[in-house]
Amino acid sequence: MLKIDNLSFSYSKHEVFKGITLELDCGKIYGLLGQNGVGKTTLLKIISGLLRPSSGTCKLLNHFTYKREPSFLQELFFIPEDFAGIDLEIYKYADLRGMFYPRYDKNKFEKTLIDFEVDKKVKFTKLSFGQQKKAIISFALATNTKLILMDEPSNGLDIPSKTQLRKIIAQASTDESCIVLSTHQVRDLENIIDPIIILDTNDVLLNASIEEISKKLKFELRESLDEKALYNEPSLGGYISVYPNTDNIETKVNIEALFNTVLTNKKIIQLILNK
Amino acid sequence: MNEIFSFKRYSKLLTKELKERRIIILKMAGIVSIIVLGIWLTSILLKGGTGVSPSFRLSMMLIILVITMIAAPFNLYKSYNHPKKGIDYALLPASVYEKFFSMLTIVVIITPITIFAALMLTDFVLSIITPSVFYGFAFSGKIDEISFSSIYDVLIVQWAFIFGNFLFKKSKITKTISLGIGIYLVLGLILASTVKSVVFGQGDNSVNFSMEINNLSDFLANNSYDEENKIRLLLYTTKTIVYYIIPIGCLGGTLLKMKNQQYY
Repeated sequence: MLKIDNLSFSYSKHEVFKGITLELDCGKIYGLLGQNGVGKTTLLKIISGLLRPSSGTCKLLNHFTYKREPSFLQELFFIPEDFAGIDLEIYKYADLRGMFYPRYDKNKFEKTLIDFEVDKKVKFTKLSFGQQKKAIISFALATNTKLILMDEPSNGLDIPSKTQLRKIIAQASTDESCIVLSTHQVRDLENIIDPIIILDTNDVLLNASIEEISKKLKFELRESLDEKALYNEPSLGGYISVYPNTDNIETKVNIEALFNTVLTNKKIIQLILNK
Repeated sequence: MNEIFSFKRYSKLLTKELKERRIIILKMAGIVSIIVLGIWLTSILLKGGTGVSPSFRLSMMLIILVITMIAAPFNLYKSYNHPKKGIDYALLPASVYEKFFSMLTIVVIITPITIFAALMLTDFVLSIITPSVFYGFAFSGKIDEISFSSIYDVLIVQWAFIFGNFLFKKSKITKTISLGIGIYLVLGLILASTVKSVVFGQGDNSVNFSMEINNLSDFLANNSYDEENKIRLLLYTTKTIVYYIIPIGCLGGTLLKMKNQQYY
């Protein structure tokens, strides 16, 4: 559905991406992870057509995204990290924009708002940041676009809302749509994201499904630090240690440990996963 | 699907824009009505109820209208190129041409008509209440003297400000005015120096160079040098620049900025 081919992008002299290639498919909820400043938001902006790549291509459903053509825009919804709503009641905002999306579902929007406990008659500007975010997430999911991009969706949400967010996103995922969640708060979303994309400076370090990762890597809870492990992370009751999965025992992937393993063993991980 | 322009999408967009921006337009209409009310109150309280002529009121109202037309793009579309606030509009599923024409429809047609109607209505009501102060109606005061060319002059200025609104991200009004003054000065200097070199370069001191030029419009409206080829060429060039190249450049530039706007 989305194809990024040999894409490069720079902010003036600062090179963010150098020839990255990536494909995203329907029916999945991608987790886009990376350290601060590696370009998660930039990548989402390129995908949504807000930024034009310096070279290479980014195509959604065969549309060059930077052209921002209507038939591309009606298949995409992007929620920026610091979404700032306008001075308008939520339901009016949704009514006025919903008509531009061919599969917009008003009932779904209102139901999600109720689940999030947000009053549709209140103006965006009268809501807290978290409430505004819940309202725009509800609208994004109701547009039923093929690609929904969310930049740090759990930022600003309280604990019950994060739980609700996970539930709502999991329910909203269909075989025809793709959701990309960019986050540095891995634990907020770790049970719903699959596959995982990890970005590094200029490059994509990992783009693999949980199944593929669990076939190649093994996550164990150990009482003591194991220096033979690729990575050890202190945890309650000992250490989470990550190993190459040589004995084909599938274990539950700990995304935070995976992220740190990938960052500290870039070349080894790429070798293991590309085997 | 038509990716360039669909009338159906344009109508939807215009409806959305009007519903979202009508409060701002009505606020502007309210403010200009208050200004007319201020003129009325001033003549009652400070001048002891001295009558204000319809033509004076009309002139005041036209000045107010021009100011609001210039301010309209900044009030209504200031966020388009904002890196965060502009995203919502940029990603709305409509083509850039539909966005451009809906913006022009609102800024160039609907807002001025609303403002003009508000001004006339206020004047009409005040004329009815106090016929001795606001005698006659403003719309009867030399309104027929407003020519198409003077409306076009105002539109050129407004389009320049529309372009400035999309060109600059910060201090939009100040930068647009500075750029406008800069262009005006450069054009004026080129004109003045060319006229000087043509007229005095001939060594013909008998040429009467007493034409009064207070501004560019005076110069462009003057026909005294129609016989002088170089000056005539200069006049045509200047007219082409002012009346065709600058307006087309401003509108075309606005469209291009909307199309290629990046949201860093």
